[in-house]
Amino acid sequence: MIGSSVSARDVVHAARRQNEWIAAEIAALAAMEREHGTAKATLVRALEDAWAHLTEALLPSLDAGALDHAARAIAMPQLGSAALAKRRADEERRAQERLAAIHADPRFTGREARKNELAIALAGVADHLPALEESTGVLEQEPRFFELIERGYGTERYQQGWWTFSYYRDWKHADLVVEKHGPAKGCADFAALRERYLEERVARDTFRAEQAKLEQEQRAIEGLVSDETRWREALQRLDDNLLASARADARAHLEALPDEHLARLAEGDATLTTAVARVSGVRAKHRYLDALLREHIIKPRHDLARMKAKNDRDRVKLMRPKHAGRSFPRADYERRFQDRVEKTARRRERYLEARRSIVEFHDYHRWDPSAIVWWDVMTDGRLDGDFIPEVEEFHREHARAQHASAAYDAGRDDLSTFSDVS
Amino acid sequence: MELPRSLRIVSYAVNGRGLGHLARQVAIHRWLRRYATFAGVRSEHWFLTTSEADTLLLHEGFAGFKLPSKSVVEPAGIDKTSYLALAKQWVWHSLGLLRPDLFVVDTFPEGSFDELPAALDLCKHAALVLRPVKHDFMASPSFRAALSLYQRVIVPADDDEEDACAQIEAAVGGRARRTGPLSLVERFAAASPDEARGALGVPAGARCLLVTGGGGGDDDVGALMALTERALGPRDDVHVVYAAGPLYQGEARRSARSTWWTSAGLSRFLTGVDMAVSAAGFNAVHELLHAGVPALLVPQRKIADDQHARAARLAARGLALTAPLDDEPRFAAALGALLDDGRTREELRARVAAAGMRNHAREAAAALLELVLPRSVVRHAAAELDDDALARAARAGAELGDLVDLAGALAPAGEADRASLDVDPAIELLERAREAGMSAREVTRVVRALAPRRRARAADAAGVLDAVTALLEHPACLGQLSSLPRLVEALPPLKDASLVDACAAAGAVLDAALAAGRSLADVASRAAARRGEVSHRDILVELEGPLVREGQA
Repeated sequence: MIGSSVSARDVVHAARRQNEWIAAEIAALAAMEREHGTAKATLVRALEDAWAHLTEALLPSLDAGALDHAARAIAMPQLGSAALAKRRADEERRAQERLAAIHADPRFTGREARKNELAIALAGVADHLPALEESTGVLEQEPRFFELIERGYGTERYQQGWWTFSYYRDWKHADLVVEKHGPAKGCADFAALRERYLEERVARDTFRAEQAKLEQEQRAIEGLVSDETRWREALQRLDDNLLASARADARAHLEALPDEHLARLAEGDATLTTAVARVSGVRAKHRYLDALLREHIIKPRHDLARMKAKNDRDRVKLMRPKHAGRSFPRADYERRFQDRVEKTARRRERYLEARRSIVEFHDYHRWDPSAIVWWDVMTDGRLDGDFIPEVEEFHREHARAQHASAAYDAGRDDLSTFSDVS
Repeated sequence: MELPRSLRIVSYAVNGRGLGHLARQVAIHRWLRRYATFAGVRSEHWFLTTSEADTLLLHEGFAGFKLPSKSVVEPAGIDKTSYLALAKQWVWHSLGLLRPDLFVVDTFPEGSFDELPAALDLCKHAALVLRPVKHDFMASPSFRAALSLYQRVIVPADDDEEDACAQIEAAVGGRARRTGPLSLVERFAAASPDEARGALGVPAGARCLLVTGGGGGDDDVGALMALTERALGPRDDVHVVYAAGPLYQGEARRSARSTWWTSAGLSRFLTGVDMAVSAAGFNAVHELLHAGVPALLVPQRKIADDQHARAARLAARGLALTAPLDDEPRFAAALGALLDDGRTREELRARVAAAGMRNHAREAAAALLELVLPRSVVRHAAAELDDDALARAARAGAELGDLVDLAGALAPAGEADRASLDVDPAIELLERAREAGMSAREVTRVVRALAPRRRARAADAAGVLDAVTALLEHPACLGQLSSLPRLVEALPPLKDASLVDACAAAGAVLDAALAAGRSLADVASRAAARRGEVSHRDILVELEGPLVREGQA
């Protein structure tokens, strides 16, 4: 027979079991959140496409009539044909001025001949420089070679006293260098080697400087040629870019507007209405996915973390000897440690169904902002969305309106009802 | 002292219905706001005033609480004692609710209703702007006692008011800061002479004579206008601008050779005025002197302000002519000299220029702000925001807030310290951006998006300027410069990159977009859609840019 109370030991066991389940559940929520992130990323792209669709519908071309119509429709005079024509002329003049400056640059006009000269000069440098680099490089890699040169070893300038360690160290290294490189360079002592090295170094540095100068000039010419090409390309694309930029400006202008205002702008234009509905629908999808994330992932995770913390606290507390004999009402125990698997699965199912309905929805033409909220369109009214404030508010207002309408139809003169609606 | 996030500054300009107190305080508040903006501190500006010309506050963007002036109490049928009780309570309650960080009182340390001594402890810091007043006022024991309640006393006096200044300095000791006169004239904001003459309605070829009675609330203003008109007679070579002041209630004087000016902002257009006939009030006189306008001063009789002494002092120094209102032949002679004697006019102009007279509102504001902000920041703000910097920023179409934001974004990483912030590179960049066709706000967006995180290495200012300019002038931006801010905002941030590196990376994207024939808006849209998922290199690869192939990305 089951008693009406449970022991502290039972509570500790149940808490441990529940924590194991909580850990698994939190892991499952993390996986759900990753999938949710993927779905959200898809929507970010969908929103970009929707805006592109809308701005293309609004500004199909740079045709003056289309521009002026769009400028009037969205109250953005800088999109008007006159303003854009001026902008185009200014930009064209700017590009032409750049091109004229490049074309007038003697480095550009004489570029082919000069490039040849530079190539020949660089080849000349290349004939001499590697040998000098090699010849000076092998000496410079020798230990203490630079110090020997600096101190003037092998010359009258060398001042090191014979009684210092440095004197003998310099002597040793100088002899090693001469022994290793002297024969190849035809030098019998360090003084001759030094003389030869310094001559080669001066020649090498001169060639290096010349090479750098020639290469810099070569790069400058290449830069001019590249600039000329880029400005010409930019000029060729000027109209396309102006149109794209005008569309982007229009988007920046429209992004701040709520759906109702967008819908009003599109009134009477079927193509624009479809495009506006698409933007509105994708924006709603973003909001709904955010709400689903809060309601079905963040909030449950927070609740689970709280439950786990309580279980941990109670386990530590009830394992103390002084609580060993305590008992707890069974009803409380069962309520606290009830099996939540089924309930959680149902909740998850609801989330998945809602997410699927939202992500897979594409029938934007069904939108009617005054009669129905996007949530009901996307879920066909099958799912409860009242955890989302805008959906709940719409339903509340709509119910009031229906109530008022029913009261009117029934011939009741209920002013309070009408004042609610207004 | 640490930088606060916000400051609430309240000014007390309560005395009669005139404009003088209010104008002086507004002149100071303009600079308080500029320096606070430079320091990155949000400042609230409130005025308690009885001036009937409080629309000046609206024009300047300051908030004002208005109490009826003493001069309308009687016509409105209000009992004097009730008014006094209401006024005291109003000031106390206002201060109790506002709890200012800085409370600035003009001229009367005890307040116009003797109410301030009981309320100053509601303010974190209290300061007084005390221009030299009549000797009787200074000699009053209660006046001198009330001076001790203020942590700082700004003395906006002229060079020739040494005695009065010494008297104030003796009374307040080290708390006094002598600044020189204040006015609303800002040289960097002045209109060009042609623009000013256009605004004042002066026809080509005519000389412009300004006739002003300050705020216009004094009884003598109408008489001064009438006297000037009689003395002038029928002349076609002079166009008269009657600056009636917002308080003037007499008849308007409109004709083909005159302009009836009642709006605010006349100080901007003094560059179009050739000479002036003016009352000798503190503000009117100093506005004319600061703008270098040769003037004939006609003193009015006032309670605290000794206009006769001021006019006489300035005339003795050869900085103005003076004539009494009640001596028409003398007035006519002085006006004749001003109008027709070119030598007199030029001498006046030369002496005013030599006296180096200017608006000292910025010094007053700095001295006040040092009570509530670190001195190093205030001094640096004062050094950076000189006339040249503000004029260039205004020409580049930038608000001060944008300028400071931009300077902060351009500062080497981690060194956007307000005590060392340099606005010159920001101004230079704004000028270049304007030339390229980009607004101050847009270029600030670009720089902010590219600005390095704290750990990035610093780059030299010239290198940064050239790097950002290269972006603005990139051929890929032709026809679509307005899309550049959105593009750079959509690009993934570069870890540990300097601003120059970030510009180079953005430049590579521009190169690639141009080579691929893609619009910046399109590239921005795609990058934004995959923000957090893609790197610069991914974007370049997608654009099949040449730089990737060359291994430079």
